[in-house]
Amino acid sequence: MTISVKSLSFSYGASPTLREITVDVAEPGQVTAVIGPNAAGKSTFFKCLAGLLVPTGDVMLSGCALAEMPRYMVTEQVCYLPQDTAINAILTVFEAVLLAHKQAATWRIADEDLASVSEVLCKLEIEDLALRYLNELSGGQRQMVSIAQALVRSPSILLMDEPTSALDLQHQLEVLDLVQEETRSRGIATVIAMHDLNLAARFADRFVCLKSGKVHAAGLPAEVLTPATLYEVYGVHANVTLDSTGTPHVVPLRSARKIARTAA
Amino acid sequence: MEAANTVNSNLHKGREVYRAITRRKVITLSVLTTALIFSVLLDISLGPASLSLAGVFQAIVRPGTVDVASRVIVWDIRMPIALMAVVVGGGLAIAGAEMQTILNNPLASPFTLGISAAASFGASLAIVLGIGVIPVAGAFLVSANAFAFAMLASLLIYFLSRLRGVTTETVILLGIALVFTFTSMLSFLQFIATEQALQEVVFWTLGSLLKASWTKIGIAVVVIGGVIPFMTRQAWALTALRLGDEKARSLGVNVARLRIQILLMVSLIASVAVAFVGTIGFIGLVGPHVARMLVGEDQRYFLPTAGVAGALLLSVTSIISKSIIPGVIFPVGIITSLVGVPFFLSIILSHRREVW
Repeated sequence: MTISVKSLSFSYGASPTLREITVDVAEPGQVTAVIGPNAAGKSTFFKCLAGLLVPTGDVMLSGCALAEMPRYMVTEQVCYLPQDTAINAILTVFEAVLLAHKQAATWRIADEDLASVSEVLCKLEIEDLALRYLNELSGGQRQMVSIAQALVRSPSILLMDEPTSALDLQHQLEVLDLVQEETRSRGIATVIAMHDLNLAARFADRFVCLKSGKVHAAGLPAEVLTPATLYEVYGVHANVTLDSTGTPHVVPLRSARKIARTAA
Repeated sequence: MEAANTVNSNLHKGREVYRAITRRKVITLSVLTTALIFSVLLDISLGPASLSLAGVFQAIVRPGTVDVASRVIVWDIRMPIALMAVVVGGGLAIAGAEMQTILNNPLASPFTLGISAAASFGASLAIVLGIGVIPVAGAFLVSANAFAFAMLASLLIYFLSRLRGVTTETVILLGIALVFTFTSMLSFLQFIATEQALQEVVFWTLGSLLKASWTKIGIAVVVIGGVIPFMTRQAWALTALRLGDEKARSLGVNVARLRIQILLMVSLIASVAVAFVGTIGFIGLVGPHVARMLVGEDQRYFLPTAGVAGALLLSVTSIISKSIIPGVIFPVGIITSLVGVPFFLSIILSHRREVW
């Protein structure tokens, strides 16, 4: 299932957060990284893609307008992992993942439900947390549980808002490896918001770069991650080199704002 | 072959873990239910005319085989009181549990949201001025007024919570404002009341199970029993709500509609509960916390455990209210906090993990 947007705008109050965005976001088997500075509108963009906010313009899922699809169908196809993982529910990890798998649908728990939950916990190597309560976990462990909740739903479109922000380096690599593998093997269209540009370049097939609620650039990582774009979007001077696989590597040098302040 | 083995292994592990989780909850619920049955029998056996537990059991199961006096004491006097404690305790705890869930606040309960205060004012209006807002007479005037004002407070919260920009925190603050408003108006009524009416008002607001009757139990059971199936149907959605609004919405839960539906249901339960027995403050707050600490927040277990825990707390309170001074029955509203606080603290202090 592909996901794209046409003339998408959204406003919380008087000033618009998203302005006339038209872009092909992701295709099946593809990981798209959404990057941009703080307050660029990334989280709002994700909520619009998930159907949690009602924007003007269209979010299209394989050519069908999301707004016209029944809610249950959207829930089945689109999985949104919010940025905030501060959960204080007294639920075990197993129950929390099972809950996501059942999607609040029914009381009956079948064998395949239990197997699916167990499988995803094994894949993420958190099966030893199964009986622990969510409110006893560290921020990183909670984020792993949230990722398990997303993967167990086997969605067609996976939207993850900064899913690795609380993880250490090893877990970041392992989780993104797994997300990439699942995306390829199950033909999921995955969209991830990330601040770590080098990590994003390593795992994403495409980039969408937002600035002030607009798409500043979109395309292959090497096309988007250029010194000029980084200066225009983030206000930093940076060197960008390509490794042997053609993956860009960003080395930030200094903040343009700081240079201007020093000069003044 | 290897894939099949992996699937079997995952299924085996999944079953083991799920069994371990559910076994503990089922055992906890069974122990609480057994304790409740024992408590109810003990409650019925205690009083000026002392009856043995075996005698009580016989009078309940085979009433024709015991003497008339024992039968009348058990069936007409003590059983309505003992069962009213179960129905009201269970109802208040369930109402508190769902209020805490939908408002995402550990302090939410029928008492803190002003529903009990509104009921007290309604009852006092009938007692002091003889004003009834629902055209019923006789024995039900006070209860009907209490119910009407409790529902009025609930509906006020309901409509204000639907206003744009009103958060769950605002609803709690609104409840506190209602508590102060109705308490002030109640004080005014007490100030102008005659000595006899004042005594009656004070007795009502203390909360007493002595007002119980089979008719009142029947009404409470029909209302509370009628609402609970609707709540149990929403068990998964309510559990998902505890993962946060955004996650619940992404799981397909219509969060706004669920909140409103459940708020209306718990208002109905709380209004009926306080209308018949007066203000009993502690059960609706503590019952849910006890349940949460014992079985967690999977609503399939949390809801019944909260109900049984609330019923048990009020039943034990009823026993204590008869046992302090032989021949004197203290209003349960006085005893609930005295019994509940040490019990609650012991559970909190024995649990090292964070409970909210």
